[in-house]
Amino acid sequence: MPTPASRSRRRGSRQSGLPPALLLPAALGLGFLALPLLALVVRAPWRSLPDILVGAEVGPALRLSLLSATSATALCLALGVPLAWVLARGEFRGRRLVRALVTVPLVLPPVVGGVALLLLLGRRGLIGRHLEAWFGVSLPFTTTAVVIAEAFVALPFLVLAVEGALRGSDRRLEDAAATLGASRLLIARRVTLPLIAPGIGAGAVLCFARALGEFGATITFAGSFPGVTRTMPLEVYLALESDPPTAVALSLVLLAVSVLVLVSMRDRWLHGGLR
Amino acid sequence: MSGGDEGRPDEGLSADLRVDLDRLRLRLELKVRPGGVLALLGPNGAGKSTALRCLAGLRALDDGAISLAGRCLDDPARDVLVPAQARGVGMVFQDYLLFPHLSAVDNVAFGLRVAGRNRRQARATAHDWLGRMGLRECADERPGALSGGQAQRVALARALAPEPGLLLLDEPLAALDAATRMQVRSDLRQHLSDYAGCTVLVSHDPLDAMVLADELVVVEDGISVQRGRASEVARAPRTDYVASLVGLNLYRGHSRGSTVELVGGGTLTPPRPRTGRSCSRWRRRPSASTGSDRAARPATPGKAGWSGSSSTPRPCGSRWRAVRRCSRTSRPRQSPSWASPRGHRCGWP
Amino acid sequence: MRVAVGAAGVLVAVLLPGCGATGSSEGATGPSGTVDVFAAASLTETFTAIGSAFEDAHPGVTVSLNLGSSAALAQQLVAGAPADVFASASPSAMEVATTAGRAEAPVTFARNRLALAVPTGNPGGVRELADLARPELTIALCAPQVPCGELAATVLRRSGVTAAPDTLEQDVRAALSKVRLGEVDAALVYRTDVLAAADQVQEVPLPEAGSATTDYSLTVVADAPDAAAARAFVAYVLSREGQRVLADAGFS
Repeated sequence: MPTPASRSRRRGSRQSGLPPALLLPAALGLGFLALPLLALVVRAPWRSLPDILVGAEVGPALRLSLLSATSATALCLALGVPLAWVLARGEFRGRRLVRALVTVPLVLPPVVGGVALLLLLGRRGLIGRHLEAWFGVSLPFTTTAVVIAEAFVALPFLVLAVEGALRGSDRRLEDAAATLGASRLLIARRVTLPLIAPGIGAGAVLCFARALGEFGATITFAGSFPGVTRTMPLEVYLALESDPPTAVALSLVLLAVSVLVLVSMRDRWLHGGLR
Repeated sequence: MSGGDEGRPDEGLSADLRVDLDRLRLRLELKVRPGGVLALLGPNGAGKSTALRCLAGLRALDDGAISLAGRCLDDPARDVLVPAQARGVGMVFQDYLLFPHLSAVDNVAFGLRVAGRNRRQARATAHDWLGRMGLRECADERPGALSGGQAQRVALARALAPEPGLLLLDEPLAALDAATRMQVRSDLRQHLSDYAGCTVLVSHDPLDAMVLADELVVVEDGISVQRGRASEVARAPRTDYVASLVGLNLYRGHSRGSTVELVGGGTLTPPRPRTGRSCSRWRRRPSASTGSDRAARPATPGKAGWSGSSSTPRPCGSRWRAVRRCSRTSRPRQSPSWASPRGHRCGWP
Repeated sequence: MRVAVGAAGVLVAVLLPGCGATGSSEGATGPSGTVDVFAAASLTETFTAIGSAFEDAHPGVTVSLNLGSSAALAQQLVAGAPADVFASASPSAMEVATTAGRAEAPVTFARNRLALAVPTGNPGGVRELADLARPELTIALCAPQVPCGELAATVLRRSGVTAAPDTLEQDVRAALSKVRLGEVDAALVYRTDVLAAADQVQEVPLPEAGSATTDYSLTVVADAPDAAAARAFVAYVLSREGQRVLADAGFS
């Protein structure tokens, strides 16, 4: 007669299909990521934290970071979703080249990305010089430049996530919609888009996270001025030079905000709409 | 059939499908009158689904032509290709393909909304359709919460709601379990007889084809190997495939209270009284090979079917005549008939 | 489980040797080993030249330069980074290192002056320090937290000019590169930086900057792994050859 203990053991062993050999590397991986963050939390200047937080630097930098990251994500959505669509559904020569181009910002050092943006949109840049001459618009050292720099490095994440979602979506549903009389645009809007919404959401979250943490391209292209272009990462780096405890405190704030945003966004995207 | 319009009926579907695929050359001619139901029957890979997709507009013909109610839908020779959106064709897919992010009523209303009806009107019509299908209480459910039979009916309602001229059904019962299939098949028969447009359905199950369709077209390797009414095809199969399919006996008749009067004469007694048109399926025990009473008594459904050489009992007045075939493709030879009492019990599908 | 333990063992065996310190030994022919020099970014060209000359003079010794802002380097030393020599552009950064006990007696070896740099051709038409207050110009300064920025703030305060900078850069080289690329109309950098980028940058004479100088100090780091080679290097910098290289670059 099986005892309750043996019964539950049998039940457990059947349900978890996890090979034990994976547990150690997984634990090491988790430690690799979590322990430095733990060190940050443990060594933070908890006593002087309130004073630092009400200091002049934190508020503007945090506001600027959140604003620019959100704007960059919106820009990426506007440009990235159509691009991903073309990549996933378009049939044209050189598609592989286009996809490689899209992933270049992933492997390019962000500072190099910033230099490239300067060479294009700076005062003497390919396009920038015309912008200045014809419209009087100068992009470097503006908040717009921050948004552009962040969007540049974050766009590939969105494009790849959405392209993956499109490739995985069931095209037969689009056939069904076509037989019901829907035009291609209508199918895209009412059938495909709702189906890939979780993929777009995941891409947007990745995009936001990457934009929030961007440093190299921002400081090179947009410069570093408090409240205008000095985002949280730049503020942290500067504080590191003169006042490390402040840098740690700022990092903690950034960490807390990121975790909060990521957790809340994830919930909404997973539970909204589709089952 | 690429060329002039003479000989094309003004009503109904007229299609000459010619498609060249990697492993298949489809050459199929179909004609369906309005209100008629044509079944494409055949093994996997025969080209049935391809034919359906061409009719729906999801695939262009390489040659030939399709016209519906006198309107040309696809004619490569004259460079005419009406896209799927504009064809007025309704399609029920094998996996139903209901939109998972919409409720059942919104699924059914989809085609109507696309056609320009406002939301309230479309939903009202959709509710009517769901009511006709007996699904009023499931209207706000998501497709994931529906059973197979319910999903199939929603898919049918969705296809029929925009009132298409041509209805296409791709293996409509394949995804259902046996018990549901029987019920849904008879309901589907009813809906198809109410529908005024042409219907083309695809199946690899001969019973579905025989129950639902007026005319059968057996398709093998892209060409039609036999066509005709179900009983004709069953009586004289022309290929091994068809013969293997019809190792069943199919009787059509009219239910009158407690008995069924068969079309060719004779009666059967069903276990449950029904009225109207009906079809019955009849299986014989393998041990039945002599002309005894027991041999002629029908077995209950689910028992083993025919043995190697099949016999087809046929009503002959009040008696049943059995014809034994020596091999599937040779001419049938007569064997002594045997009498059987009236009022046989037989199993209903 | 056995596989996991084995894998962990391999991992540890691979990583461990990399953590070892680079040893050195004083050979019979003189100092040898690698001299790790932490030097301010504005010493890039000079210390590179001095480094190769030192290597020629002392075969067996390699000079490895870690360049960055003095403040950042000081923080790295405080955190315990292994180094042999520390050359700081600002006294405050050197003080940080000394307080932490990482620096032995520092010695001044060069003096640098602040300069107003503009792109070649002076597109902004900058002629004096007061022009930095013009809002329509794009100005780059160093952030006040770094030595160059401290010096710039002092000069501006003393002259009574309220500059309107568009960016406060991390280090003087970042500010310089903005001028070189033509992205800003003017920047306050060191005189040596202007000379180093003479082809793309020109200097606007700054009489106010006469008193605005910063002393560069040099020290052997405490617990230096290659102490003997480090002392030899410091001596070389202070020698006539080293000083000539510095003077050529614009230091005084």
